[in-house]
Amino acid sequence: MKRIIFTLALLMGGGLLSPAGHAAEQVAIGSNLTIQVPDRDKTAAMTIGKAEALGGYFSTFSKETVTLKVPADKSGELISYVKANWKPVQESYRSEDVAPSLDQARARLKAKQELYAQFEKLLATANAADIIEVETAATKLIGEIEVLKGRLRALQHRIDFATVTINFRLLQRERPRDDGNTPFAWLNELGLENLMREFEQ
Amino acid sequence: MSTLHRTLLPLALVALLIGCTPPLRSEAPADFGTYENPKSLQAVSPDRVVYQVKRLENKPFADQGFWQVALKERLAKAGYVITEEGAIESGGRKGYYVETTAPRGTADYMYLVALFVQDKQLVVVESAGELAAYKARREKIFAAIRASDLTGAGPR
Repeated sequence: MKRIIFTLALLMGGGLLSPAGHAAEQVAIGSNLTIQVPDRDKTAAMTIGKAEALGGYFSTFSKETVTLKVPADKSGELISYVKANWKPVQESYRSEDVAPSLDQARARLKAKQELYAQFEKLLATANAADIIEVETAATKLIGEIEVLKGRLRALQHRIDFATVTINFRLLQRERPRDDGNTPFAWLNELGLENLMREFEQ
Repeated sequence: MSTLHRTLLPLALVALLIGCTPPLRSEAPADFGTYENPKSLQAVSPDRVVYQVKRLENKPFADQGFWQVALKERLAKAGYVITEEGAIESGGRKGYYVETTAPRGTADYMYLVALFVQDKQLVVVESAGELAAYKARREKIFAAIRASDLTGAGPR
């Protein structure tokens, strides 16, 4: 019985029984934008709102970056929105052909599913001792099938949803010039640095 | 009228006139520690968000509209990035506020100025803090401004 299970696994897991059909172009799109913003939180809220309006969502959000997922055919619209509202200082785009990975995962899944079907047939004719052996192998196989299904879903999601990463850079890093050059004394005394200094004395 | 009365009466009048300047009855934002200061109200939060209310002379004399424009222009020209501005009311008196961001050291700060023109006097509210700390307290800062009776110097 062990020999039968091993041979079946070798044939199918090794891809000898797997289909070799290559899918049409299946590309995962990723965009990375760095924009100058006056207010990071407000910008993040606006970009997340736009992504949601396009049927997407945000996957990560930190003080410096927000990562958005939008339906692949909407990513251009989101990028145009960001570029129209904030000044991009850096942008990069990448596309990754995930078809080979997808095909490979599908083939491996199909092979394992066929192997599982063989196990089921074996179970029908197996004796008590063999049943335990086949069931152990089948249980392991179910785990592998679920992992592959998860991988397939993840790959498909990367195709369906483009990733748009937006990095925030505060509009300017130059300290305000509170040198007081207005004709009005009280206005000249205003300023962040002056205020903070009053509390630090 | 005795000599004593003649001397005391003008002094009493002067004292009365000085006393006429009503106190600046301002509330510090909730959870802020208040500094006692006769000229202004100063308060600070544990995370170093500061809040100050000062009364100044409206000199040269100008109305709310003029000072709003002058204030905004002063901040913008100095390099502050204006993130929000608008009308604000305090004790039934209409005022103006402008919120800005600016770098301070390695951190980003928010800096708020609210202005209320009251005839010959200006009441200027300033608040500032590191961006996240300020934002966490923004509602309380605005609530304090709205709740204050700025018609009146000195903490309540």
